[in-house]
Amino acid sequence: MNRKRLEEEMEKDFREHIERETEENIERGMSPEEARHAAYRKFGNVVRLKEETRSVWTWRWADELSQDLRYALRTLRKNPAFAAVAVLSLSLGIGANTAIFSLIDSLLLRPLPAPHPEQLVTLDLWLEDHGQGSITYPIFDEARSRNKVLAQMFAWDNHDFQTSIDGETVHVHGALASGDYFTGLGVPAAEGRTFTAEDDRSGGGPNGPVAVISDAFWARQFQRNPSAIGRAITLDKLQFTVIGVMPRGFFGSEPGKAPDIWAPLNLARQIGDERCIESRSCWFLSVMGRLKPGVTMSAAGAQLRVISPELMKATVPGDWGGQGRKRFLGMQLHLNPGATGSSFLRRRFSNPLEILMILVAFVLLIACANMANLLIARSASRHRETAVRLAIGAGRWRLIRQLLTESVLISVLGAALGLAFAAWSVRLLVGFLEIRSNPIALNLNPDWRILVFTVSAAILTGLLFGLFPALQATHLGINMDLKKRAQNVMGAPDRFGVGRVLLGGQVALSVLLVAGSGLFAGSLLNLWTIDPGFNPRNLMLIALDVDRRPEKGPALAAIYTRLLDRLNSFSGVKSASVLLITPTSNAEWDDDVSLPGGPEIPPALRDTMVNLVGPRYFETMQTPLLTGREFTNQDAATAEKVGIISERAARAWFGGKSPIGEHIQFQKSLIRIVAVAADAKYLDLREPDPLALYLCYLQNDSPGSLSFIVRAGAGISSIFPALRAAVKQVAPGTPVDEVKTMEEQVSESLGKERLMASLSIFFGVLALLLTCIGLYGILAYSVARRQAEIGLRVAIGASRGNVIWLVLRDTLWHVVVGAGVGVVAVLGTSRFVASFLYGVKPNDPWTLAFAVAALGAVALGAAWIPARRAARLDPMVALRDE
Amino acid sequence: MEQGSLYPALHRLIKRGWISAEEGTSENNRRAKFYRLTPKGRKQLAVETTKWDRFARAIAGVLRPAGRENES
Repeated sequence: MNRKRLEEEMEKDFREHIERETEENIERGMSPEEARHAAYRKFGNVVRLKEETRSVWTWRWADELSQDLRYALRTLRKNPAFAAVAVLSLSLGIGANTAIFSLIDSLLLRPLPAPHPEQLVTLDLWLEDHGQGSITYPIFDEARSRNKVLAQMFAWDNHDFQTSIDGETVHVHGALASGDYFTGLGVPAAEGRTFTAEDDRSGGGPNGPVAVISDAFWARQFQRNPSAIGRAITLDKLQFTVIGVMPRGFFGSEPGKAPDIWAPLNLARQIGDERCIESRSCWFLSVMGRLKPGVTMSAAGAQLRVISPELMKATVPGDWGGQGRKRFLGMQLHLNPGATGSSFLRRRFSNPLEILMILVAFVLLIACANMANLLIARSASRHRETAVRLAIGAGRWRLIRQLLTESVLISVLGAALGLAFAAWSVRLLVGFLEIRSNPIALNLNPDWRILVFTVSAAILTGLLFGLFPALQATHLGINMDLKKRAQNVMGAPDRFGVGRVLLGGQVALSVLLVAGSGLFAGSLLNLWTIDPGFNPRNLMLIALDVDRRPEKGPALAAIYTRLLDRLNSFSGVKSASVLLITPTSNAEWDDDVSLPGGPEIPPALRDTMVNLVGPRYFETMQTPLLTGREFTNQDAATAEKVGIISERAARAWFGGKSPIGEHIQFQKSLIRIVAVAADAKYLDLREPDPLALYLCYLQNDSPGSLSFIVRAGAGISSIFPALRAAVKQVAPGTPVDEVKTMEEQVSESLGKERLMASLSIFFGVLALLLTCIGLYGILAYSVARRQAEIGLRVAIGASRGNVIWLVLRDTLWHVVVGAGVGVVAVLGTSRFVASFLYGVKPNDPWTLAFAVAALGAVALGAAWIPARRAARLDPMVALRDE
Repeated sequence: MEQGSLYPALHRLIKRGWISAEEGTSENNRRAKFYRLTPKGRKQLAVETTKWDRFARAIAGVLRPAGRENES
């Protein structure tokens, strides 16, 4: 409205000014015609002055921007194929970047949902240059009472509670947390109260055992009814009182976890975990703290280092001696920034994610180069338009701005589509990090960091791929270009050199990405085909958590035995056994072995991986016994202690001698060796075969939480009803919920490798596709542009082969150079990913050859159509077109 | 200088609030627009005048000795 009034007023002012001037001129004696002309001359360029005046009252750039946007949309709509290729390739590039960045953001960057997260610190134990995130309860307890620099120090252990819901016993994810957990995080309950140090006592505080629940659990279990506070809930057979509900979105201190129930740590003593909390060698707690106001992290860290020696002396396990004791006493507490919490996932995946972020940035660079090529090709077809505009007085900067507006519009459209693509694909990515028994709950909703990232990626991309073509398109001698068509017959000066250089860069990056994907895929393949020493096919793992029953020691072992007898009798079960530590699950039990009265074992060969297993274990795993016998039910608690060692252990400890009947000293018992088993993987597939010692669960005082393994035969699916019935009878109240195959277990243990391999293959294919599009675009453009030249050459006798070579020559040269640069880049950088490879050398020549060959095939494929078109060109048509 | 360039300049001054415009009739009874300094404009004028004075004095200071030399 205002704008319109101003406009009218300006018109009136100008008109009246000129009228007045004309009248005055007439009074001076000019003819009316002459007078009017003179007045206009004196006034100046009316259109330009209007523009100038308008620019005073408005932001002219906003006007022009909307003009440019409308123009850009029009041109895109006129050329839908170009628009589709451009937007799609950018959306893949930007979307993939956003997806990886969202993971990095939620896992590494997002602060905890707590006030002043910058005051939070995590505590690690360091021995020389090696750090570990978990701490024993005695160390935590001592450190807490001696600490003077942290306002609160709190610890937690992720714990799945068994609870009864609608009559069914199920597992609920939760955590056992020390009394200062919530005060330390500084987050109060949304309803009721959180627990405090008073509640964190063995047996519970003044209110008995209490628990705090999550908002999600409150909604699911109590329909958000405020009367949930004060209700009783049975967790692991112990009665708790619900005292509070945490606010929505609160997940505690560990990104990736979504606990539903928090209970005081010291109640572990009442719910079956007393062994660990009392042990001086059970490393199960994650510890964080909040700095006292005014204390810096380095000052606090220094104080903790100072108290470390006395701390370790007070908490060293009494039965540890020698090397182990010395190492324990040398450990130090270290502080690290804890604003983003403490997470196992982060330790495991931060390096792979960083590498993937670099790879995916390369994909975006390729997409940029590709877009730049497409734009150069298109701006070439718009040369005349540009030349005409420059000729009639458009400023170069103004034209550049218009072209940039267009490219940024393309990239913003690409980014919008990319965000959708990212939202979908990031959930897929999380699947790679996830283990079934251990679901990942990351907050992947876009936050400001992701939005800023995507928007700046889009704008930067647009400027990056748009700037060069825009500069080039507007860099024209006006006359030259209008005249140029005449020169076209005999090879116009080539303005496409830069496009080819971009193509070369694209090829080099593609070689890098394809070679990378080859390396990662090769490693995964090697791991998949490795012999783990057992047969994971048709092998089922059933975790029953029988150990949460009140029975302990021999009574618990008897339950396992009864269930095993049942399992072995089911049709569909070839054989069944139990084990304490599932191979490749990253759990371990290791300790030193010595030879009583025999020679001293070298220190490097003492530390042995131990597992508790049952009778028929080796039959079930299909790990061959080289000599000797399996455990039997006769290897009971009262019988002589027996053990089975691995082939490597036999060689290391007994040389060529048969170890059968020999004795070894393990912890406090003397063990007679009854068999040697073939080597098998323990911690993960990548490690060399470990020294292993198998003990019979029947001879262990407290066998703890054993899993059942079942070698399935035909009709295995029918065992579950029978198993449920058997469990109900033998161990009533035990949930039968986690069943997975050993193949799944192994595959989960390769999550990192699968993530790297699948994503890098995806990026490699994307790079090839983009390079293919770019190459095709350049060649098709160059053929179209040199149509006349080609026609002329054919007319004077060039053969088809000549023509094809003419078209391909320059471009293929750049492909070759690009590939060469790519190979050099691979050789120079692949050692940075060496730690992610297995069975493949970083500079594996086959992988490199494969990458170059893949690029060559793609290049030939892309060149084929334009080259054929050039070869089929009819010289008469081509020349007449001029 | 084009007469028309007066208008963008006037609009700029109005936008900055240094002058105000008012319609009226001129002494020879024609419709006319009167531009008037606002208080803010007057202050700005004083600032600008001082600046100009200082500038002019500086220039004069540079030029005078040279002038004398020419005379001698």
